[in-house]
Amino acid sequence: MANLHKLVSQIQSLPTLPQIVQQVITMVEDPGVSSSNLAKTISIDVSLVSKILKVVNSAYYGLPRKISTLTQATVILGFNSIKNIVMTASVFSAFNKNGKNERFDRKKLWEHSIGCAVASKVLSKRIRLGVPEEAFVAGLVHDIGKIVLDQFLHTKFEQVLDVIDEKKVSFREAENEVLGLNHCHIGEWLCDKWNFPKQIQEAVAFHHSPGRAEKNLKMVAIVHLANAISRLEGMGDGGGKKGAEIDVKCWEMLSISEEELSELIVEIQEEYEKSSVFLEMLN
Amino acid sequence: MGSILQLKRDNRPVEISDQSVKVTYNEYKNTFNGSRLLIEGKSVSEILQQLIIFLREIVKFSSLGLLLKEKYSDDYYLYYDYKIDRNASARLRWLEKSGYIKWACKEERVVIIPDEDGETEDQSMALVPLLSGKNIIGVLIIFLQLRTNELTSHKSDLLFLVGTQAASALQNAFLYKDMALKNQAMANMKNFLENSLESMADGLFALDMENKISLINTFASKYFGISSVEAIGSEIHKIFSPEFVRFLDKSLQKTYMIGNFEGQFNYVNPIDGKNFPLGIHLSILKNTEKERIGVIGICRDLTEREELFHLRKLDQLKDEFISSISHELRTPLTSIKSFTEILLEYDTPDKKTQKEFLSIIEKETNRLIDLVNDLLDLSRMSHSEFSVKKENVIIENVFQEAFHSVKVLAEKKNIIIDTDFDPVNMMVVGDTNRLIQVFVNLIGNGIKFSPEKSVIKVWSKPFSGKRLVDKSDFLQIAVEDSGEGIPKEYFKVVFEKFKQVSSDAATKPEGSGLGLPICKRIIERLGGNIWVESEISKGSIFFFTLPLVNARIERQENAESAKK
Repeated sequence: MANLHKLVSQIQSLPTLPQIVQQVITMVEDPGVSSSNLAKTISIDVSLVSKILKVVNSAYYGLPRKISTLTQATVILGFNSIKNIVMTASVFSAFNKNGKNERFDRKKLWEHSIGCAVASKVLSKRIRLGVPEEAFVAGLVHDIGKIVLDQFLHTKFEQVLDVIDEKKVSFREAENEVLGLNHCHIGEWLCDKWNFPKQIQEAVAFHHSPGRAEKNLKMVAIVHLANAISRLEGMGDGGGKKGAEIDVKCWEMLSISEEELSELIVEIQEEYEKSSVFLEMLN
Repeated sequence: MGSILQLKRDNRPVEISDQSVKVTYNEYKNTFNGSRLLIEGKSVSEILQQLIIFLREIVKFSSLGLLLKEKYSDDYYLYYDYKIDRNASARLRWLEKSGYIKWACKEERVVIIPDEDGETEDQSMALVPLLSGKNIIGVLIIFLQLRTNELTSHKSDLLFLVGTQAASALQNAFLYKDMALKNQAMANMKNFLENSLESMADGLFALDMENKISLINTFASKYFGISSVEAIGSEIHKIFSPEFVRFLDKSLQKTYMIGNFEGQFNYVNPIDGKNFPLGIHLSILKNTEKERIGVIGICRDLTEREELFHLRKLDQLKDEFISSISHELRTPLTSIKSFTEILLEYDTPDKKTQKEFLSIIEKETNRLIDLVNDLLDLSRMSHSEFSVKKENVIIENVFQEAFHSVKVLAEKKNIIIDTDFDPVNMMVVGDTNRLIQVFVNLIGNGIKFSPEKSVIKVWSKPFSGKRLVDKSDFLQIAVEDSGEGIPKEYFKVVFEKFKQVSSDAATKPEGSGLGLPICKRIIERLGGNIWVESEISKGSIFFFTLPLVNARIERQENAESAKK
């Protein structure tokens, strides 16, 4: 995509993830890797270990007993939870906590993202799709394109915010007008750069237009719906001035009835309330 | 860890080693085969056996516990244990208290609990939630013999898979067991019902809405003379006689109208040809939705009941007989006793009065003698030894002898006895003395009930019955009076013991009331018949028939020539 290349070529220093994230992603996929292997790899990054132990012992996981060692954490929580925590912590550390613009509250966007992550995980668990932890990460990074814009292409980002203020349009419409592309494209590009699993990339790319996705349709549908739930339930703020649009086909694809949805929303709210530990990681 | 995980400089992961892929492939293949065996397991014990073999392929473990979730709470109980020793048992208790079981079930994934102090001892436990559909049915606690560095996420995935397979298999087995129990209970019930039906002393059958027999027990098939194999599924008109089908049709109509029916049919058993009174009770058969699905019938052989009924009736007749005979005996006795007392007490010199009293006593004594004679006669006639002579007698001669006996009585009332005997047919088969008795009785009755100065006609002619053969085979003799007559409903009754038409004692003429029954016995024994025709206040005609001698001889000759 010509526009995208033109745009990202303007970014001088790309946000990178620590090497350890790649290692963890690969190790988790390898059937031969044991808990102690994983723990040994992670333990090199002392700050990551303390972040992991903090999250593991938080209300979000609600473990009946305190976990004091990384090995215990990897054994009890399993590889995917550890991978999730490592990726989340790394994504957070790749960006500054606050943006440069007073019109755009980056912390609110992170809150919205965590809401979407929690909702994605609950939905994924509900429909028994793949690894719920992966859905969590997909939800977490679905709007990462916006942060890239804010942090690395700030002039363009100002223009987008102007359009939103003037025309009261959605973030995406404003982006399309100013850039000829939107945060979905940027997010997808970044996830590819970071070697994130394909289904995360696709969920990011099509979270506003699930009908256009060709693969990993359920993951796309999950993130699309989780995004809407997060907005409708007032978890943080994505920055747009227009309400959420929901593609009804996604409900049908996940075959979730209305009664089930209301139960799920209660569960999502409970999980979200317990998820403040992730936001704390931003500090 | 180096060999498995090598990172290239551009941050791209290396390919996963061939060795590792091979191991994984084999493990998944085993899992696939093992889960098939699990699912095929029919009983819980079979499944658990398979499960242990299967788990051994995936992880090393020392013992195993299967905890099932309570139906109506979130608690778990130990359902099955495999090699759980004291140590394992203590750890299991610790685990129950730790909260990890509920946590693992909430997380819906395999949770490995390492040894308390952590690192690598072979003291870890795997908690495998047993997920069947959306529901957790329990959790498998595996006491692993693995070092932490042997625990891979892939093993956890395999355990989870095994857990879901085992859960489905167990769920099915529980359902199967439940169903088997229910089936057994139903089979017992069925057996009980069948035995009850068979042990019933009554016949029982059921008809469906198309009038086909849907059930029949041994007694019913015995009564109907139809085997149950033949009966079941057959429409009634195909197996029963048209008469019985007509009866059943009507009974069914009534049953459907008022809910039940009770009746009796003189059934002929098609096997032995015997007929017997079959009592039938029908009622509507409904299903659990209260819809009509047919009729249920109970049938019973009423022969014994009928016999009993008959015996009761006889008993009743006997009682009546005794009561009336006592009355008949007492009346003359009372009068004899009274007059005797008077004669003894008052020494009346009046000879005339004495004679008058004595003649009353004599008359009453005669009446008693007559009565006792009649009774003796009747009693004798009731027994088989009562025989009549069958000789050729000329009916008019018999009448003449009888006439001497009644002449005095008739003269007393100035009654004329007029005769008109058929001159051609005089010779009948009979017993002179008995026939005199019949004439005396009939003419005596006529005199008793006729007014003074009336006429009693005695006549005879060949009998013209309804059947051709009767014609001229018999002689019909009639005794016609002009008395008060007999109501039609008494035409038969008068021939029964102690029946006189008027029950009013004042108008009741003297007599034992045994005369006509005696006549009936005699005439019937002689092969004839006796009956009465009467019109109120005009008079009665008593008829009797006797075989004519000529006809009898002709008939015998015909029969003998036919034999030859």
